[in-house]
Amino acid sequence: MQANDAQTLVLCVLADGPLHGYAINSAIEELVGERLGPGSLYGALTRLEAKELITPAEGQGRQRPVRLTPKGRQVLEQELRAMAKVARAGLKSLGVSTN
Amino acid sequence: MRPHQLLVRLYPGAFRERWGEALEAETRAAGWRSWPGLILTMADLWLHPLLWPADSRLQRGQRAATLGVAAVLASAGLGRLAAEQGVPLTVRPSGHWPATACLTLLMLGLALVAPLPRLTGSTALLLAEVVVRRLGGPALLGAGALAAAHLAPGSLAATPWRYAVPTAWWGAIAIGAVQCCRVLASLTAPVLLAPGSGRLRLGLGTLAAATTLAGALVLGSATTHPHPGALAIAAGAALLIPAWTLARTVRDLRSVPID
Repeated sequence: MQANDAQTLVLCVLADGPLHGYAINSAIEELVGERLGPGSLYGALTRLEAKELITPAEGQGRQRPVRLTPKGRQVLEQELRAMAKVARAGLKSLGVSTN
Repeated sequence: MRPHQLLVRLYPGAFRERWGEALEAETRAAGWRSWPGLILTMADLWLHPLLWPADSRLQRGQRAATLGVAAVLASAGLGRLAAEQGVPLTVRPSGHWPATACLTLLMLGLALVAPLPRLTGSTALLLAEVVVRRLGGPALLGAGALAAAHLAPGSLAATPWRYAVPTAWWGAIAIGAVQCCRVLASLTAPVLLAPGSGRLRLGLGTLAAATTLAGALVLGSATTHPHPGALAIAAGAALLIPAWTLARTVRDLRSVPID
């Protein structure tokens, strides 16, 4: 996965709690400054659900919210740690302080 | 119907049931600029049936098994189509053995991916009922075409029915193949049991190799044929689509649990 990978972005914004599709995209817009295309968003949701990284959250009406599973939380943490490691190394090479 | 609604309608049914309404609303809001992405995702999903929303892991396994059977049926149909165009698999590049290897791989792959029936009295009855309901029509159509061709070949040749009979025959085969896949997809445990993930990966990988070989053989034969036919070349190229889908599904099986 990459920092702008649709699946990573969806997992990231779901870390705060269950959201439905539109709210996920709004949270992504807030995070990175632009919305995902509808195809990318629902394609990512479909893949994440198939991998059992997200699951439908129950009892919240027609909007079909989803939430992270424990496995999804674990995968997200691994991905973010890997990205942070790469970011730290890259910034160090550029001579940019991370503090 | 508006274009964005039409595009959403073209998505797989399982996807539409889960996300169709929300996708339609988002697409309406995003406007025409979202259409290319929508089309790409639609194509991607059709090539990845394992990812479609499912009620259970077993259902995903069943879909993967059905994909394998569908690939075998598509390969048989397209191979037959190429042969009808004068491009049998056995002509080139080196005689019979590549076609034999291809057929062996197809049969081995089919044996590995085919869901196994668990026959008790009630499940056998259910299986028989579904098979008759789904396959009875195409079987009758095919039998009718066969009977017409054998019983009145001379009188048919001079009438417009000469086109209707082969159309009915090929139609019966195509409908039968589709219905076969629908039977497999609709019957889950305890009637039919899809193989586990290891066996499915092996079977789908074998089928991916078989369909790639079949596509390469048909394309090779068609393009080196003295009178290359567009239909035979198209059949060869079309064989590479199931090969691609199968290979991607084998990859998907690493991250998508099915058992």
